[in-house]
Amino acid sequence: MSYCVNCGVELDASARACPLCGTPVVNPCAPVQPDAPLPFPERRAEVAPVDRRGAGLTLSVMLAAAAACCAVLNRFFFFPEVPWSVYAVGGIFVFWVLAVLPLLWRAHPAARAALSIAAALAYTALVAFLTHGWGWYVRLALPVALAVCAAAAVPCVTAAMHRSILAVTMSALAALTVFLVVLEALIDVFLTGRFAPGWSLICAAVGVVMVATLLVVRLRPRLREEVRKRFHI
Amino acid sequence: MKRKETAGAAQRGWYRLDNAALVYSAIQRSDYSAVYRFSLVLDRDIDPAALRRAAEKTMPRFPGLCVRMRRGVFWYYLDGAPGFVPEVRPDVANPCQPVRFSPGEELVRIYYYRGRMSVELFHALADGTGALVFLKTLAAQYLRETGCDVPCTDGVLDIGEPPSPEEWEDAYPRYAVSRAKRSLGGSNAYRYTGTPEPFYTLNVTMGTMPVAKLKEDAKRCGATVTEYLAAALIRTLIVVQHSERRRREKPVALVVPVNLRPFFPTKTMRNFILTVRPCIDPELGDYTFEEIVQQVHHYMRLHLTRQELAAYLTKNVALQRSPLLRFVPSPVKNLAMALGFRFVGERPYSMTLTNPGILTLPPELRAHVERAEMILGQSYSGRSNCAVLSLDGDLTVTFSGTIREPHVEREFFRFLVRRGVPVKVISNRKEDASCPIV
Repeated sequence: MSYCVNCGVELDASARACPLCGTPVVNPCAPVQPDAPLPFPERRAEVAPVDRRGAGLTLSVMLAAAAACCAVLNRFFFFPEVPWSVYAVGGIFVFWVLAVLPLLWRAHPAARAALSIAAALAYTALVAFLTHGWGWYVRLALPVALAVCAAAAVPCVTAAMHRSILAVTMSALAALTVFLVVLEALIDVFLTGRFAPGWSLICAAVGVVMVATLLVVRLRPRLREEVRKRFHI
Repeated sequence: MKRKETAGAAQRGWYRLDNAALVYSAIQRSDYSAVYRFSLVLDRDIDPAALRRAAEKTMPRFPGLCVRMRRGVFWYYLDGAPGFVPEVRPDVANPCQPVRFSPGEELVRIYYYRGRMSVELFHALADGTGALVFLKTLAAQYLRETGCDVPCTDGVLDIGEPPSPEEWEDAYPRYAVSRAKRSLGGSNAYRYTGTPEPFYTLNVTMGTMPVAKLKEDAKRCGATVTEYLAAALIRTLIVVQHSERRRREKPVALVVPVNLRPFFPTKTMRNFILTVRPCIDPELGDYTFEEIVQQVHHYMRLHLTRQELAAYLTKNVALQRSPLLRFVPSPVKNLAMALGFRFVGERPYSMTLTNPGILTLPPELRAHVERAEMILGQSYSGRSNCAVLSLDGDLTVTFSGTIREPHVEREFFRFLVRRGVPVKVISNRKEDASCPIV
């Protein structure tokens, strides 16, 4: 029998290293027996994930039936002159994309997010079409929505790249700074036709100072370590 | 009336979930496994065919385990599946995998590996006491299948007898009669973290030690073995937290399940447990190990009383009976319970320590059993949980979790060795001798 020289615990005959500290077993009197039976099996297994396609199909059929009912009621019974069922069908479609599609299709989270955004934009476009509001949709709603998505995507991508909390915070602040400038520009252009920077510049100045501070912390290892120690959660 | 309900449940072929089972079924997720495992290591390799025959003969004696989990509108329930026998499978490296409630999923699993016979149970079905009775009866029947004669003593059930309704009663409501209602709360406790392992890897580290040596040291400190081990674990967590050099240290608290049967007599094999929370706040100052043992010892003696446990029990059952809650659809209720447990319920505890006690076996069975083991499934945070099981002179302490670094395990076992308790360690962790952690 061998003992770990660090931990003092007795080890299994098959152990090449201590499972507690990783110290290799070197015992000339009792060499490691590579053929000795392992204390635990090595075969991995996984409980199969639940197949939710059945539930997804059932929900799809239910939603489709609800949409069809709305259309029929609108066309033949209730307020045929107002196309209210189009709003309802559009809403049902957005709900289907958000809640039911993930049950039917195991997509990458980024693909699901893109689809959800596309569905929401399509619904807004539908509202714009029905209310003859293409002007505000194309010049304000669509660009602002795309800018929000882009600003949200930056920290998400940084986090997905397994960067530090500092890097994620920096990217989020930078994205927010740029977004606020773009937002003011879009509002100004929509209202007056030209960009007159105002409040967004104050926000941008604060954002730039904060990003610069974080950048200094990020680039100076000793400072970073000090901050990590002080702010650890 | 309760007895009538229980008998009716068996006849109807379905069971309401008991109070603990409601929680376990609600919080069960892919990253939380309410599955635990008991194993007996025999002195000979397991014959899977004989084990299968033993399972086929044993399962009908345990109708509460021949069930499937079903979703009702307001509550989950256990639907009887008479004739259900879990498949006997070769063991796997990642035990206690979570239950996913898919149709046909087994809530009882039986594994074998060399001489080890393992039973895994979803906690909604039974607690440790019930699971140990099942394992003992299965092991006894297995030995009978291989030609040994094992009598039905020391908790081994006679598989020829019809199952008694009392064995599957929900004992919680029967004793939820206290005028006072108390709930076990507490401030947020220290939670150690580390590198998470990929899904689904459960790192198991098992230490076997002589009970006599532990008892000797525990007696010197004036405590029982469970209190002594709880104190050693608290001390370990205090040391690990201290090594992180936090500015403010959080309390270290354990969640220790308590078997209620000695306080409230029942024959049930379903869940009948509550938990207590021994706690040390390192902000108050440095504690010696002996002081921690005394704190744990006195906490246990002060709070493990029939009256106080009845007050906790009544509060839990009152929640379950609340008309407001009862008429909320089960998906909403389960989601609320799961979120509540994840963000509030688990926070006051640093780690679980469970000790179902000393396993007694009939001498004919004991002669063939080398060791008994228990493993707990993973928590939301991935931290290790600790399970203790003793068989005569040997006690096995098992840590299981999904954090790569074995800091807690190492500190705990090293401490016991320093106290003069010899420990033998085995693990399913991938060996990496290239980077020792001293």
